[in-house]
Amino acid sequence: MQRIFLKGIKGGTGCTAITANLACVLKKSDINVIAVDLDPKSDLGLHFGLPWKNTQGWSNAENFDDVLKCFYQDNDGVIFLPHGNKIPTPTEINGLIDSCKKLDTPKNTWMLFDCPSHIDISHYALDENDIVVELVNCDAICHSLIYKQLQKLKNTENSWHHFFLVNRYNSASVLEFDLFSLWQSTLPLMAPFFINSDEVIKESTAYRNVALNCAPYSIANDDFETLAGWLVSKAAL
Amino acid sequence: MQNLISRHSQTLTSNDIENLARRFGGKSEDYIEIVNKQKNNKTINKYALLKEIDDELAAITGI
Repeated sequence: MQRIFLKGIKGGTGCTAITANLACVLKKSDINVIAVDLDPKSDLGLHFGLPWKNTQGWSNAENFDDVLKCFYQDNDGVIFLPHGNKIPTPTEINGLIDSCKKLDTPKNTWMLFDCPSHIDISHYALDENDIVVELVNCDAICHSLIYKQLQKLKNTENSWHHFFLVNRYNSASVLEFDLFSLWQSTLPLMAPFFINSDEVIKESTAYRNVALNCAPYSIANDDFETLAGWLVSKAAL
Repeated sequence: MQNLISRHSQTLTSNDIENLARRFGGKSEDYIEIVNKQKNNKTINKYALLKEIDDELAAITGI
């Protein structure tokens, strides 16, 4: 089982949309995918067609047997676990992440965790095979936050694969071009590509779907396929 | 008085950057260093916040 933890370096970087779109692209490539919502906003399910009125999820469950009843499967075959409307303790979150390891799943299963931006990823029990994708936008605040995160990573005891991925890249912006070029040539752990800003991502969410189904020939979908392929190559290391 | 002795340094030296790439980025050859210091300095000097962060890091590391 390959575990991918996706989180924004700050709020509003587009992490949940990336998680949902990545899950569907991976599933299209015959990889079994389980997407788990660790964010109390509990909006990952909306991308997979979960009714808006549904407020229940793993955080409402008393034990892991109850959690098993909270899983859903969307039309593309992606299995997902909504968060629910309770605020779990850090112990409960780590307990869920750990329990997910025990799921009886095929060997080629990928678990995608949509993490809230405010958490310190080092508080999760990560191991050396886990991949953390930290989403950033090409702006000066993210520039500052990346340096702070690198300082934190330097002082962490354990190791995992950690990458920064630029989301919502606007190729018409001089500032974004300057920052992306600077990051690529000076910072370690930057993914060598970006996810373009594309209306398709917002539109497909509005249609309760993902880019793969709404606009399979879009730039957005190309970007998600690039991300999926790159992650597969990183998982093989 | 501030305690100046800390177990973990908050600086990021070029050696730290290499170690981070090795620890969290997988194989070392995945990290391609493109050296264009002049262009990078131009970008940093262009934006006030980037310049401030760069100056701060340079002051700490002494580079």
